[in-house]
Amino acid sequence: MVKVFIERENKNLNVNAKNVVELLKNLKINKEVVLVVKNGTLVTEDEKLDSKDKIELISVISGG
Amino acid sequence: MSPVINGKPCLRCIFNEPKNFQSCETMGVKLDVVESVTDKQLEIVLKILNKEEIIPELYCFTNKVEKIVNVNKRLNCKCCVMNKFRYLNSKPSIEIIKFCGSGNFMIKANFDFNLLKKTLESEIEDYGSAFKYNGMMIYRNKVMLKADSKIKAKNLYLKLIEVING
Repeated sequence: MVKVFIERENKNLNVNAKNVVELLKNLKINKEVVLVVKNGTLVTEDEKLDSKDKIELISVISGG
Repeated sequence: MSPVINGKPCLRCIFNEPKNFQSCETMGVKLDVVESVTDKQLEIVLKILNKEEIIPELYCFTNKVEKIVNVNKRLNCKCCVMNKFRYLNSKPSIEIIKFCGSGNFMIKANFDFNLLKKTLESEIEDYGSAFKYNGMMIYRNKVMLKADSKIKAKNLYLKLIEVING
């Protein structure tokens, strides 16, 4: 189980996932609309996850 | 927000496939966030002018706090690693025709039909000389699709051909 903080919903969850793709799939979140941050570093879809990792999902809003 | 520094991660390293984002139009604008972003931009500009080192970080302005995220160069970044500049090299010679009384559009354009079909192979309904993908009917040299406007139709088409143009 990976501990995940969803920034937009201000919610903490425990999710069963081995990597980022699986995590987003299980949460039913489109990978194109969030950035995945693992232990303070932005990671790509193929990044492996561990139960000790601190994961944050940050929603992206374009503008400017 | 992230500064783009020569030799460091580019925006494509962060947003690999930029699409379907919420925008200020759909989410609204919080004025204190605008202020925070401009403050940060000014701080970075002053550092550049003073020839100080700029760290490639992503500044996230959320509802609550400003968060700093470390960013690494994407190993297979199409832009700064593979030097494929999609928008600079694109050839937007397309004709868009709207059908009366409906949201149906026909887009005439030259694209590699066979390559597109092969690339999307696992996600299409194949009719031989045409195929259906994501609600669009794709023929040689034309695409039929539904959209709210001509611009949205064009964007849908451009997103479609992105899969072969990279």
